[in-house]
Amino acid sequence: MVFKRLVIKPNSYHDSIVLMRLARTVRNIDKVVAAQVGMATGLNKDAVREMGFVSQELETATANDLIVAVVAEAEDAIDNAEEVIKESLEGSARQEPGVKAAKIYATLSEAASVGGAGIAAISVPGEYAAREAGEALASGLHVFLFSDNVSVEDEVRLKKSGKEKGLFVMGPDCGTAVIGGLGLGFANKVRSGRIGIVAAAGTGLQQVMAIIDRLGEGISEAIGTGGRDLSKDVGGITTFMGLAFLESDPNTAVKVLISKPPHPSVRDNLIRMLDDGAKPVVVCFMGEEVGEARRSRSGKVLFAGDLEEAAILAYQLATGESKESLYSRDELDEMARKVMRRVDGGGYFRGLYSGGTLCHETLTMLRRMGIDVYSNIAQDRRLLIEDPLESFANTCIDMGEDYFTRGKPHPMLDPGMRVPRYIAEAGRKDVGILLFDVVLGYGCHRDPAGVMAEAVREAGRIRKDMGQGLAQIAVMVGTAGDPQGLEKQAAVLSEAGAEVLSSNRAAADLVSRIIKAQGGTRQCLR
Amino acid sequence: MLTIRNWPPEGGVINVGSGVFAESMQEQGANVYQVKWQPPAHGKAELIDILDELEGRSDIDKANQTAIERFSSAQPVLTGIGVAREAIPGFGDRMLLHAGPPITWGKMSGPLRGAVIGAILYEGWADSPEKAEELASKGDIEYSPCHEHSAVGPMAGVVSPRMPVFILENRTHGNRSYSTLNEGLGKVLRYGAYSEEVLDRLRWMEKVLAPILKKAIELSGGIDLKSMIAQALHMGDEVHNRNRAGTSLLIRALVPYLVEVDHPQADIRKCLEFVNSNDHFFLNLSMPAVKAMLEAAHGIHKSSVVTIMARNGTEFGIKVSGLGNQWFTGPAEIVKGLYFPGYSEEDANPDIGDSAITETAGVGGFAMAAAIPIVQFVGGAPEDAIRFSEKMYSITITENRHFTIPILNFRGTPTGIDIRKVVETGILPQINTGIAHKAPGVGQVGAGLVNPPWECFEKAIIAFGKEYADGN
Amino acid sequence: MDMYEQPFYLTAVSHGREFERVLKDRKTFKVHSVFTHAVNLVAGSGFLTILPLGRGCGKDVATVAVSERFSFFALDVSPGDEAGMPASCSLWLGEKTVIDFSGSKGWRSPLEAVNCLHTIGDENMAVLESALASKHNDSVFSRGFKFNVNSEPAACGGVIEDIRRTLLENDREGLEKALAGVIGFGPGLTPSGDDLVLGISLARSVFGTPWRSKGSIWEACVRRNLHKTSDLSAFFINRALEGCAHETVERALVYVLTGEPGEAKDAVGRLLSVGATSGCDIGLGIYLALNWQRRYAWCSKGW
Repeated sequence: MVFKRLVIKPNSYHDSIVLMRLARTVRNIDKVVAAQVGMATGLNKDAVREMGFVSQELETATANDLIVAVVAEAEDAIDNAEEVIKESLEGSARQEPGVKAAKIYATLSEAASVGGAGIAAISVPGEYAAREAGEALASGLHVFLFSDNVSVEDEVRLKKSGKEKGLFVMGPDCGTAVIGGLGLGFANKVRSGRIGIVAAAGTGLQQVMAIIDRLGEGISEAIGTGGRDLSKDVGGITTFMGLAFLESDPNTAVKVLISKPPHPSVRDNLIRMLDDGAKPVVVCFMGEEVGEARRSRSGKVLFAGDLEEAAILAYQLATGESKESLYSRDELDEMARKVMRRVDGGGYFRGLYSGGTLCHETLTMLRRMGIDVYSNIAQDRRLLIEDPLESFANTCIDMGEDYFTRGKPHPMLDPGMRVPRYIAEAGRKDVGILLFDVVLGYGCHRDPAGVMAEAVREAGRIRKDMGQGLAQIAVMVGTAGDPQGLEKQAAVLSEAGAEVLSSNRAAADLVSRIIKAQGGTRQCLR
Repeated sequence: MLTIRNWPPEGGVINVGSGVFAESMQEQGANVYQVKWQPPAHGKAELIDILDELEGRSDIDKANQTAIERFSSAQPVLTGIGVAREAIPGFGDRMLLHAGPPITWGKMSGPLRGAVIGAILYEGWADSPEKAEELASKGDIEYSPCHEHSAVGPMAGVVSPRMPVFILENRTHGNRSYSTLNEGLGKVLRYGAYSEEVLDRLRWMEKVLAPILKKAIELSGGIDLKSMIAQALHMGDEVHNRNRAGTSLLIRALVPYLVEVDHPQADIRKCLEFVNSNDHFFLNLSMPAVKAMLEAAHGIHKSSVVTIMARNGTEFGIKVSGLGNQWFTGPAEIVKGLYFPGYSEEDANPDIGDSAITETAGVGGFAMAAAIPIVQFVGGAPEDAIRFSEKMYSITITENRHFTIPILNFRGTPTGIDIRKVVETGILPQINTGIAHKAPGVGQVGAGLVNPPWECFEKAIIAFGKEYADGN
Repeated sequence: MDMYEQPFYLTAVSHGREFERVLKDRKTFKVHSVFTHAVNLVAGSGFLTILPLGRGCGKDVATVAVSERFSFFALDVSPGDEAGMPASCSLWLGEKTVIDFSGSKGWRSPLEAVNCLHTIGDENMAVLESALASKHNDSVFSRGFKFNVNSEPAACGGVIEDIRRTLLENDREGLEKALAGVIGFGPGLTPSGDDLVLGISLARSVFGTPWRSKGSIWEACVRRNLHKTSDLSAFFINRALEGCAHETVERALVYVLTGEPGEAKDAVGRLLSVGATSGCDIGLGIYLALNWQRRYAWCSKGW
């Protein structure tokens, strides 16, 4: 049995090459015996007639009309052929453009309409970010929302909508994530491994990942949530989704949760969920004092007091190996002695951070040691600095805070923005210890240590002119695989005269040792 | 039970915002779709609210599909030549048609005023330029946009009652469109020249050229302009600023019938020489051809497709399919481009002419990639021509089924400007155009690139929002 | 943070007084030239220079916080681009680069601290001399030059000897002739001969001011010959005649005059490592001027 179909499309113009190629494609369709696709010129009409088509329509067709004639052994082959023809003649954006250029899209929906993407990374100014995120969700994309200054209402709306659709909304104000091995935002190149992380804090996450990587273990997924996820309003939508995923993820053996302390109403549900899970979990609620117990009722939840401890505990659980801390007591003592020799005259401590979480951790650590530190992000009102440009006694500034980044790049993108302040602090007679962080990874500055090294050298020169010593301490958050090169970056800084540590807790510990050795534990308050 | 789909997400990443992140993800081997993000609607909150109401609306999308379908299926055919007063609907006795949105004498720029004076002299309503000017300014003459009479005119676009006009018919929908015959380059009426030489040429065109061409066209049974435009696009024209191929194709189509026309051979020869010596002769056919197509797409309830972009030398105006007869206007801009020796931007008149109808239809500046040699004329490098065309896909609804661009792998020209997309992306339609001298009668001083003023689209989206935001 | 426009951000750490012309008066400059480690701006006959931190400041210099390996060529800034300050504290170079001055400190010249006439100590002169001697092949002028503080340098010969002799003899025409072969001599935007003249001029200025010798034949002759060299180089020499130079040069001079030998050694070492030969040529100029001052007190004589 032979099936035939003739379709004439009046006033349809197509390039002959396109049509020839199309005819060939149609002929290759299974069960198609013969096919003709072309403009209704005399020659083409003859060919179609030879295929056995007779119709008045064919006779009156002109060279402006398209004829499609298909002969096949099965009816569905003809349907098939027609589908192919329709698709290729009316299909939208054609593939493989003749001139190859990196395609740049004007809008998110335009990019989404091409298909092929699974997630949208959004870093536009906050006022527009919710709109873009909404469009991404509508297009069925997960969202990594780097932008900050998104309202809580928008955050709740987006996260609820995402949850309904089964899509993640990481953020707003989500600095870092590692998803399926791909680092989003400011992300380090970490080994893949068995530890899965859900984190509300960008640099906090980077610090934990970097230490885990340094210890030789790796990450399965690192899901960011944004800083407000565990608030009462948001209710931990992304955190719960993330932890549920890690629980079911075959590549994850140990879960880690890093966040500011959650709202009490969220906290109970959260701990209950973690207790119900099968996998062990390390929880670090930054700034919260860890009780004696250190474990939840079920014993599955371990509480860590700081980022390094969270990384170490996760490492222990994943590998079964015992490891106390990144730096031994002796190593720290030795470092302290070495730095002390440089300080000679003593003096106040000044910290200039690009990572907000790290700054916060340092404040917490020093407070635990009984040292009061002024800061623009201090929770203790007495220690809060109103003018972030000023310093009093011991001061630690988060320079990634809004005040400094309004209309300017974040210090992780431009570490140089800290340099004038750094040099000014170095020029003050009553200052003896300078501390700063250097964050490596994708998305960060290409040579942050190089920039800070110049500042360290300049500070050294200034102090030499002043005839005073200065302790310069750097916390370096990064992995061997990072594009900047961890070892090279560390070497550049130590060559310039800074003591480089790869744990923020250890650096805070070092600072506290120096301050205590100078005898001044509690500086008088303003 | 919570289900998460596609996690960890397969496929690439769409990056909206920081290029630093796009680079770093590419470095990690990810497939990155980079969005060159701009604040939507130039960051204006009230416009963004309107956009949010209008975007993703299936009723509007459907209306636009209808408009596009009507546009694409239109079949403009050159059927003859007539006298403006008789052929063009609604032509008054003392009426002059002009390019662009409505305008009064007081606001007309130099070239348009010159053309009006010339037309008055040509019609014999006055016997000196001074008297013509007096007449023009007194309010005795009725001025009406070509576009409101299904006509189009390049530059000043002045059509007077006696002038011969091409008559085109859209064989699919039955609507007609009209345009004068192109006078050539140099001192010509459309650039505002009105010297005796100009008027003589117009008279010759009326007495000799028009009757001969009319007969040849009639003998041919009608010339299919749509396929001629499609072919011209494959021969290096974009049918706005480059019409060399189109003009040649037209001659090729006419010659067999011209030889049959019963007129003195010398006249026929002169006609052929005239058409042959003017690369832009086809412009006055490509314009009404796409006008006939676009008019078929106008008046579709809820359609946000732009159906007219036109300038009168003072203002730029657009019309939208679903917004009836409202013009949305803004001040016409100065064209950026290459000037002929001895002229500069200071000599330029603001953007003028109905020829932006070609861009409205997705050719002209939108099809620059088809006409790469044009960059020598309007400035820029070959890559720019390709880039300009590619950019226009971001503000159009679809790709033309008939007009294709060889170097873009025969991709259809960007078709159906959607005011929502223009406002969302902030990308304005790219027009390439001739530049008129601001003084009447000097003529063309250069060619280049220009955009409509943003205002047109801002006003249009506000009106569209008022009309359709509530979903009715 | 507005990231969608993404200009290239640089943070200024310190700036000389002349930068006030942009910072306060909003005067618009143009980019004059771009080097790996310097961007020069120009407006009329005035120049401003942007250098990386660690390469010193100066009256016409601003330093920015970038790493040692950073190249200004990466900035997408080209000669002819506008450099202006549409908003306070942000200096735009072209359309894509912005320098933030909000944290920048004003720079003070170390020469300001030199406010009385100094005797030039043997020890520091010896430091300068041995540093120059170890690199004597780096400057065309010091090749074959025998450094010996205490001996009469009559043997040095060539252009330097001509300068010394004509100055001693107050021979205006002879000096003119000698300088004609020096200013503009050598390749580059600051030719070797210019660097030598710059060094001499700067050192003279320290002594010249109190002795009121600024209008002597040296200054007049140098000024007359400046049209023979590049605008940028002429500008630097003019500044040197006024007693200003780049921090590294000023520091070397100040430490040789007033510092401990150790400090002088550091400062001179830094000077001599500037550029390919620039530092050595300037250092030689300083050395000659100081030597002649010790020997003949030429500034007090008004040559």
